[in-house]
Amino acid sequence: MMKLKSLLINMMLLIAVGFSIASCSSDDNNDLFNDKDSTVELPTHRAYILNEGALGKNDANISLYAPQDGTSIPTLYKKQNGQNLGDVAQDIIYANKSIFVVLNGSKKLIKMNTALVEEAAVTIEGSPRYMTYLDGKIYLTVWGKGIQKYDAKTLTLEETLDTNYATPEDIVVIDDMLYICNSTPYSSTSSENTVTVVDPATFQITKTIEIWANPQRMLEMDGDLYIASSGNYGYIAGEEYIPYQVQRVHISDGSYTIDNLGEYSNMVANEDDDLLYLANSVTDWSTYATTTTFSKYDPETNTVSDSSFLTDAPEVLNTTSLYNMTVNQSNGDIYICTSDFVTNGEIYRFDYTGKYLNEFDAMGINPSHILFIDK
Amino acid sequence: MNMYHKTISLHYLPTRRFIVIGLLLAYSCWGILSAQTVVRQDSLYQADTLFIEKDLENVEVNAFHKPIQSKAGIPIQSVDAEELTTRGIQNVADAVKQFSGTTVRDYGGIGGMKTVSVHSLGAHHTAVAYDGIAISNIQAGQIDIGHFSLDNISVLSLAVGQEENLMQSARLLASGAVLNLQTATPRVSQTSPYTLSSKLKIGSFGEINPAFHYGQWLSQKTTLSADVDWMRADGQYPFTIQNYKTLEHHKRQNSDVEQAHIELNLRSELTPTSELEIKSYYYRSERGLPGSVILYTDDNNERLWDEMFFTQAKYNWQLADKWKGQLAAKYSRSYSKYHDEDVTYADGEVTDINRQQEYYIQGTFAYQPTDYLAISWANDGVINHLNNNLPNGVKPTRYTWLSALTAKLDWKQLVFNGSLLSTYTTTHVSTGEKPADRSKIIPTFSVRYTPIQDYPWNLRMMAKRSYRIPSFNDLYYERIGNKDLNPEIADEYSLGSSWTLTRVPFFDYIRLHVDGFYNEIDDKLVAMPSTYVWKMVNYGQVRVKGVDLSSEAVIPLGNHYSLFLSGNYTYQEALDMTDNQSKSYKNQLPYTPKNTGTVSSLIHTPWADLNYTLISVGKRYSSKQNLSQYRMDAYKEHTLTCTKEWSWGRFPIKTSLSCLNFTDKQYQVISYYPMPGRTWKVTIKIDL
Repeated sequence: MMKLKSLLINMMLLIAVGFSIASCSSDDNNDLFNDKDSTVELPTHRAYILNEGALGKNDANISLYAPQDGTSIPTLYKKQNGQNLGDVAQDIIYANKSIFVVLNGSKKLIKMNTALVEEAAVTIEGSPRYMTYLDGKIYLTVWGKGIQKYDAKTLTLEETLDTNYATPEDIVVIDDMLYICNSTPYSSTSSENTVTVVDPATFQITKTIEIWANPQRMLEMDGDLYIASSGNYGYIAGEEYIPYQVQRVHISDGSYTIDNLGEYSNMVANEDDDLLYLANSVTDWSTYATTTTFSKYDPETNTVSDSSFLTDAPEVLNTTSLYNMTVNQSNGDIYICTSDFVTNGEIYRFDYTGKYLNEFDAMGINPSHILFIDK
Repeated sequence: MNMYHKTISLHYLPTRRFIVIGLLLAYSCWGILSAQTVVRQDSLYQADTLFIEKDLENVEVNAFHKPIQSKAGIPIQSVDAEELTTRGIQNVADAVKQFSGTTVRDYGGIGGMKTVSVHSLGAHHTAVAYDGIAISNIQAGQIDIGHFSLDNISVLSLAVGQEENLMQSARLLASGAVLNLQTATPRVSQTSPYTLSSKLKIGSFGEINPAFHYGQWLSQKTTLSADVDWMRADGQYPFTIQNYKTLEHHKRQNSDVEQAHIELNLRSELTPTSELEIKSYYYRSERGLPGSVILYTDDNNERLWDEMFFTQAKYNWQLADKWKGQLAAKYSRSYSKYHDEDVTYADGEVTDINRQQEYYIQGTFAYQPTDYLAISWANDGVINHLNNNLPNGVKPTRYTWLSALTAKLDWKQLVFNGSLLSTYTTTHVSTGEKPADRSKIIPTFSVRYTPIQDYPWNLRMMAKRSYRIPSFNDLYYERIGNKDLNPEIADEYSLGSSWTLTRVPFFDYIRLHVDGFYNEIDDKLVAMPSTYVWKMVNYGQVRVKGVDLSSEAVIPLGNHYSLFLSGNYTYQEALDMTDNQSKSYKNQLPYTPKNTGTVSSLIHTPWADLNYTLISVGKRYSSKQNLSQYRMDAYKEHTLTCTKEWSWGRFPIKTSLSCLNFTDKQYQVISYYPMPGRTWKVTIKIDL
């Protein structure tokens, strides 16, 4: 039982956003892939790019990039299934030789095999956001509903937990507990600033942690929780301007103390080196110029170093807002996505030392996730 | 009783109001008082035609005066009430789609928003005027032409660039194109002091549209008229959507609309040389907003309520032989309520309420010191106020002053027209920092040349600068608004020619127009994304080049038959030149077809009129990046209309049957906003 569980955790690891625990064990590709009914031949090193698409245009897609030789297959889901993915892809995860994708616009949760051949799909009531996998279940945050538990095999809805927050956002697993951050709802008159902790065994809330305003994304590294929050954009009447912030919540030592790492808009974990990569994009609205700075955080020493984790980034990255940063945890390659929200995104690839390798078209609008299935 | 029989000779002029209108429009050049009596007979365009063609008798006249006027400095396209009926045109947008050079953004269905952009300048550069006075929506900056009823419209016209009209208000001079809706005046009748007509239209998808027009002669010189119309439709039309390899069949949901419109008009000829028009207008509507079709789900609860009221007065007079004046004032207020229920909102629902008010005064004075020179000075003052229920609403009040000096020189075969427009804007806000005042000087120049005197062939050129002042949404809308925005400037250049051929075998006449155009926008207002927040910025650069071709011809087919043919074609290349690093650099702007064309043919017979219209739109892209996955296929829409007039006792009755999109073509103008397929409309109109 423990072995199966650790295998599952190992697989989850490979998911871009970066869950914890290092080391990949198996060289046997059959542990990773289930390509049944694929209409195309697929490489063994895969980077699946989830393109959110533009709102209302039904142009979300999953495209494949093969890091080995730089080849790609645009809109692979569509080719495999003969239909469009749908409107506004929100999240993608990999578990147990399956890929799960949730569509916010089309309100749909899809299970597919590793060749993106659809195996099951379910319509979601409410506005689905992010998900995680634990012990054969998919836990999905749904605006207007709370947290929903789906059977990962059949996508049957088993339970809904109303956490009393309108817009639960990202969800991660740390030490078999679910951490859900609660973002600020649209048209709210005050900022939301909490993380809800849910015990999946009882499916009840066990704790609420107060954090920075309007948390958006979270990740786990070395048993601690990292949260990127957006602040209030200065747009909530009666509230002072609150900028972005990345925070670390000490979970592993049981203290739940919080460190503010600083004002950053993007973060990603390099699990092999135990480093948190940070970036901050700031746009000056009088000149329309954007400046992006790269930093890294060492959890060991609890210090942020302002030297970039990229050694030779193309100049354009220093002047463009970043859409997403992802690390391929199996080899340390860093992928940085940019987007102008109307044309196809661009992805810049660096090796584990931060050396620039190449760049390629994201094959869709708003590349928000890269999912690696890579041995 | 068909207009196509009233062609060619001037005899019908005094009795056929619309021909006079067309004439006046067509030849609204200069010349002066000899034509004054003609002008008096129809007050409609009186204000717009200070300097009437000197010698109307020499002018070639026919009933098909309107589609484009050969002698105008710039192309003015128009369609009158009778054509609207015989050509089966159901709404303002349908009419505008048949004009050359236009791109209508149509979100589909009866209630869907419809805006018009001319030569890819963007809808914000198209002014919409009602009886010559601008309608504004200072919040959105663009007018939804779907709101206007055609029931009491006598002429709908579109002028691209600058008209040679000295009485034009400064506000309309500032825009890149003017779409004018001219309402009908009651007809003169010797026998009855009043006129009453009623109309009922019934159409597919639950459309019911009754309309009444009442006109009363209060005195020899004063008329009062009232128009009331009401329309509802459930709008649940079937459509298909191609989901890659699967063709899905659906019905449009939450697409219902109900609207009512009441209008009162008082028109009085106060003295032989002065005239007063007073209008009050009220409109209200409720509609569902179906939104774009989202694959795998169908869940939209958005609703919109609109109300608009305005009252306007216009006074024109002539002083001695050389002076003419126009004064106008308008007060308008509008209300819109948007409601949506969705779990993404803090309370599960959101209600946005916006109220706008406008006070507007306008005055134009023209002076003609000599036979060949006339000058005019137009001044417009506008106060706009927006109040909404947003927590961060700044309740802006904007004061705008526009002043235009125009000169027109008519020298031998040349006509020069030039104007300088100055604009000044200052805005006050209830909280926060006040935006900087803005002022601009905008020049315009046009030349028209008639190579052979009294021969209907001319050459023309125009250079015009128009500007779009940022809307309140651009400046203040939550998060995206940017109070530091400058007005967006568009430069228009055009070169064209018109030619009318009258001695062609088998034809009454053939008229041809060709206009090449080139537009530049360097500070286009666009929404720029950053990490989490978008903002409006003056950033976009657009270059547009293209050509409009238009032609019309009448073929007489014996005594009681005739065939009227017209065709328009526009080619335009509208490229995004903003950033040469961008993937959309030098790509065609979204939703802008390179090729569009319309063909219309009308056969008149003693029994009925039969009209066929084809609208053909080339491929377009729904995205700034012209990738194949965003390509929207070309489409052709065919419409057939049969119109018959008869009488019931002494009451004339007009009936028409239209089949729009009779091939049931499934297409979209805006991506994932499907348009209705085959649609039937039956109209019966009776004059009492």
